Amino acid sequence: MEVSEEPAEDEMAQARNLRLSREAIFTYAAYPLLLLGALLVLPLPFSYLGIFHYSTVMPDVLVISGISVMFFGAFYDFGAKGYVMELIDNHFRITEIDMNHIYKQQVKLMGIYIGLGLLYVVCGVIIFAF
Amino acid sequence: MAAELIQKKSSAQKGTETILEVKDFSVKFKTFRGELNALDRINLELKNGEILGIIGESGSGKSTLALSLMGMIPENGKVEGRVRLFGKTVAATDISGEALLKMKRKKAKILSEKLRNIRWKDVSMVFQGSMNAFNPVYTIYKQIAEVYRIHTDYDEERIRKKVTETVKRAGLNPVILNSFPHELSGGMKQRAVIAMALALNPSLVIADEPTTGLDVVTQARIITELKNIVIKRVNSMMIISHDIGVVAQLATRVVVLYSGWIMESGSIEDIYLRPSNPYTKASLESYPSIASEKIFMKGIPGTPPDPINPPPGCRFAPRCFFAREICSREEPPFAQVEPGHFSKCHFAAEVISSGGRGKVEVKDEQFGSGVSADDKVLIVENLSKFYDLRTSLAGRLFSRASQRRIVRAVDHVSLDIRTSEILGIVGESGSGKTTFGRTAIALIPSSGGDVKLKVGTNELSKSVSESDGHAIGITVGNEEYMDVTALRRGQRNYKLLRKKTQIIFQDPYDSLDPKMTVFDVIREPIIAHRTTRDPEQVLMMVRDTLASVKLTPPENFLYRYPHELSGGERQRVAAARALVLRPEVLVADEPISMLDVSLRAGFMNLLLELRNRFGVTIIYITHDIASARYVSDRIVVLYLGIAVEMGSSEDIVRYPHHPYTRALIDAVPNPTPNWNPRELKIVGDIGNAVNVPKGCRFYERCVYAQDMCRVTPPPVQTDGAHWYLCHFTQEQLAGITPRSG
Amino acid sequence: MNIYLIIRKVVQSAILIVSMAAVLFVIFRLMPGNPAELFLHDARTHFATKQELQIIEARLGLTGGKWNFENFLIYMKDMFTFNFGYDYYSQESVATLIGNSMPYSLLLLGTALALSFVVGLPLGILATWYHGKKKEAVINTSNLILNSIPYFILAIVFYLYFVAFYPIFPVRGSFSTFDLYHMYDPSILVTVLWKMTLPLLSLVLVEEAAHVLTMRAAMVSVMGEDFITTARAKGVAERTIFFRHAARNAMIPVSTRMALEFAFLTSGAIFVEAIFSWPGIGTLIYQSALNEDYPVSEGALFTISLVVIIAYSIIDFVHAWLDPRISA
Repeated sequence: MEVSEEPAEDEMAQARNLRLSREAIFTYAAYPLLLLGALLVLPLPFSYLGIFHYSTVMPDVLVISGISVMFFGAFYDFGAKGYVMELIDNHFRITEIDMNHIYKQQVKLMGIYIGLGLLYVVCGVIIFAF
Repeated sequence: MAAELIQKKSSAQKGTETILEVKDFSVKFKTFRGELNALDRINLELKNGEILGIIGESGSGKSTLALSLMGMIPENGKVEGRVRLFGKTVAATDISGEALLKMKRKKAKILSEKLRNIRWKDVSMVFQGSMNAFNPVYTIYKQIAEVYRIHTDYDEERIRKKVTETVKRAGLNPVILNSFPHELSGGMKQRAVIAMALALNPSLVIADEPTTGLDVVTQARIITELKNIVIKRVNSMMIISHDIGVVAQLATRVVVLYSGWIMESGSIEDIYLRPSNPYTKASLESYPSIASEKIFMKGIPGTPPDPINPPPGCRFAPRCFFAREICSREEPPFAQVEPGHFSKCHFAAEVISSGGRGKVEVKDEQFGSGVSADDKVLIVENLSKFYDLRTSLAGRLFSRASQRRIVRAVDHVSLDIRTSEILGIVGESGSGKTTFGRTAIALIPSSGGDVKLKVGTNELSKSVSESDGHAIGITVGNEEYMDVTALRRGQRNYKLLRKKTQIIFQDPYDSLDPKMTVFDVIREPIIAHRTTRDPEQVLMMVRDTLASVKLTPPENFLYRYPHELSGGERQRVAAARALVLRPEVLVADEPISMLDVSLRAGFMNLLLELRNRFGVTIIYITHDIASARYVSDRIVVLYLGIAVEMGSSEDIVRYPHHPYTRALIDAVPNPTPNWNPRELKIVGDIGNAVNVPKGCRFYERCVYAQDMCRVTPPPVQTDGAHWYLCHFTQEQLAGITPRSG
Repeated sequence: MNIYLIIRKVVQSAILIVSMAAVLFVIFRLMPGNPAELFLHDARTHFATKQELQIIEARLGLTGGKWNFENFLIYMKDMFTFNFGYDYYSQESVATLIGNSMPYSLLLLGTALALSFVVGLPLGILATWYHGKKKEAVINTSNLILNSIPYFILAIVFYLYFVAFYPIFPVRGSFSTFDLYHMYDPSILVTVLWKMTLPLLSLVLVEEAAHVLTMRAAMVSVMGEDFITTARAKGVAERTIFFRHAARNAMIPVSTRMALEFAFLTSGAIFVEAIFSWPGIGTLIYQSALNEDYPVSEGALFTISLVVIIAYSIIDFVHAWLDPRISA
């Protein structure tokens, strides 16, 4: 088969691309973290008003949210489908290596989301313990 | 040379043996609406060594004919007459899809066994490879090997050897054998299809639209390949195509099909030089060619007949410029005009004496020439459109760090478009021509550069706050322009831009809402731009526009839905929608590529006429140089996002300067008998606009490329109005020995 | 197949199971009533002391209220160690109950699934093979009718007809508990098969119809493709075209529905088992639901979800193998 691989970018650009890719991962990781913060802080005033018991309700809420985050991380494709469609539209050749990289990044993010989900659970346990 | 060889070969064997005989052959299909006449009393003969071309547009029955020759008539097909191949009957009243259905199982089994043994071994088929000719779930190897498994008793080892050999002979690397069909490019798939067809060295090969859907360059290569096959490997071939030019390059004898009838048959010279049937003549006259002078094409009016209720008398009569009273009453006889030249027409003798191509008078105003070079309607400067796949979050995440992910779809293109001119934009698929058309009128935002659109004085609303401090209005010379690239959606001037620029899309089936009547479709822009609220006036505007796109009388079309219209009529409705607000600039994006061949000339003439009547400027985007030359005043050639050559359309076609343009022009098929394509001076495929070379963008495919081309971007070489991007002048290029393509 | 893809699929299944357990926790806590009082169901005539109630609550994992977080953690731990608690009535371990009925269910479900494929897919292909003939109409109409009947209606009709009015098959009681572990003995095998006939039929007939309909639709669309014409022109025998070229392609849409069908089948099996008192997990769920026997319901539902999820992921892999074009 004709192998017309795109030429590699120079080192500077590669480093930049790597940085961009890491930043993207951090951006994706930021959303559940922000949500966690919001979940922890937002009910506080209501709890202060005595509408519900913070330490009894929050653990349940946090654990359920944590499992939801894990669920999302495992099943969302993180925009991979759209990205592949974009590649096709722009006449890129999609090789095995590309697909492998996509799957790898997905697994990475899935791992991160599961970790964050566990963080939710840990938060729940801590709140319960106090 | 190739043509001589073909001729020599065919004359040496001519008349020796009839391998195919089709006699009074009719095929009717049962459908919900009634009986569909696919083929009506066809008579054909193919002698050993002949290359028979079959010309016909969609619905002419050409595919049914191809299937019948292999004994593969679908189950709802009823047959009269018969087809004999190598002395064996493959289709007859008792050998048809319907007959097989009714037959006793045992008998049907024996019969289909018999038919199967003929297939591929004696007669094989080259299908349209760009379609699904290969089964998507098996590798190419498995599918070619299957041929040997069925028809030979070779062992596994020998089959493997044979398959590899076959693929090599078709000019493919045997590595592709282990790939699945979706992993190959269009050209490679077509070659694999040809390799499979030749696997068993059949005596007859039927090529059914072998080049449809391929780019011109690839098409030229496949045609050369087929020519070589005819010279070296098979005795007889049948080329079935809607493209007169493709058939002209290969066939020695031609049959013209129309609505299930053979309209004309004869040697290639007979058909192309002395057509004796109005349909053939009209088709030839409405095929844009770049080899001959630019002449006015009349086109064929109307649409192909309904195959279920064909008109009485001659089926072509309603569209025929020759038709007299008798034509709509009596079916014309299929009579001999000259020795070996038959025609189905009452007035065949008269048609033939009226002469061949070029008799239609050229009227200057049909093309229009009053375009002033100073009067610019659109000034495009360094227009660029880069897609950075890393702009999106997902793109950054999934791109590999070592790979470029910036597509230069349009890269610093500068040109002026003159008022009321038709500017042709030509390029292979992936050259960025569609993106250019859309960024030029700001349908999609550009990444850089300026586009200025001429506006009348006081048309612009000039409030500064609206344009965020940017000056939308610009004065160049003593004309007002608006800065299109600075406009943002929602501004008042944006509406003006939309009103002044319109687009016609490629696919007339997708671009019209199926739930809207023609009236609604055309009325929509009037309502959206609040041009008028008076219903009477709206109706008037719609009717006038319909009349101006030749949908007459307009009353017949107003309340019809898109599905009730033919492809050509839909495209006219799309044009009417674009024109109803009288725009300054109209972008026509491949407007004829989805239309039937007989309707294309008509639509091109419509564009010319609209320009002449309303002075609209048209940007005509196409992959077909011949049609661009016919409609446009000037042509720009795009290659991977940059404009490589520009000049008047005659200059581009007659004296192409850039090596790429030369290759494109050389690749265009020409409807003259035994026309030989020049050797294609181009390497490889277009690829994508990602790994663009530092220097000349055409470097990798150029046969004249030198070391300097790799690193230094080429300067503009110009002689007045005609310019091209290259390091070398024409004299210098002539001095370089090209590397082999 | 790609290793990362495999990891992803496996983790997906794992997460699905965890979420499933959590959802079950929530659903059962949302039900009205106090399980501890239900536990004393029989003894409700006498007044339970507070102490007694507390002991029972502790045993049921309800100390500190239904939504107590500690209970949730214990619940999750219990679920994944298959420690589902005890039956309110017999005081037997739920795990043992499930362990006892699971083989019966797997036997019924597995046979039904396999049979429905063995019957349905070829029938779907045959319907296309007889395209335009009377046989096609017969296959189509009968399967369309069968497919529109819910499992339990068919089961009830069968029960009324073949057990109540014309007692060809054994009556209700005798379906329960029989020797499954000695099926190598022909006489026992015959008894098992005999008892299985009606529940199996009511599952297979409906399920098989779904396969026929999807397979036929997929076959018809595939048979219109260009590569079928190519195969025909190559001289491939019509039968080979059907089974090698068309059926393989038609299996792709069918296999995507397979997972869904399996879930349907499982839910259908619960009713069918209950109707025929087939001693499987379906009957267990049915009875526990009637008795408000929460630990049993919880455990049984969890186990069934587990089975379905595992089946899902297996089907996923089959699908990827069938279609080489499969991607993200």
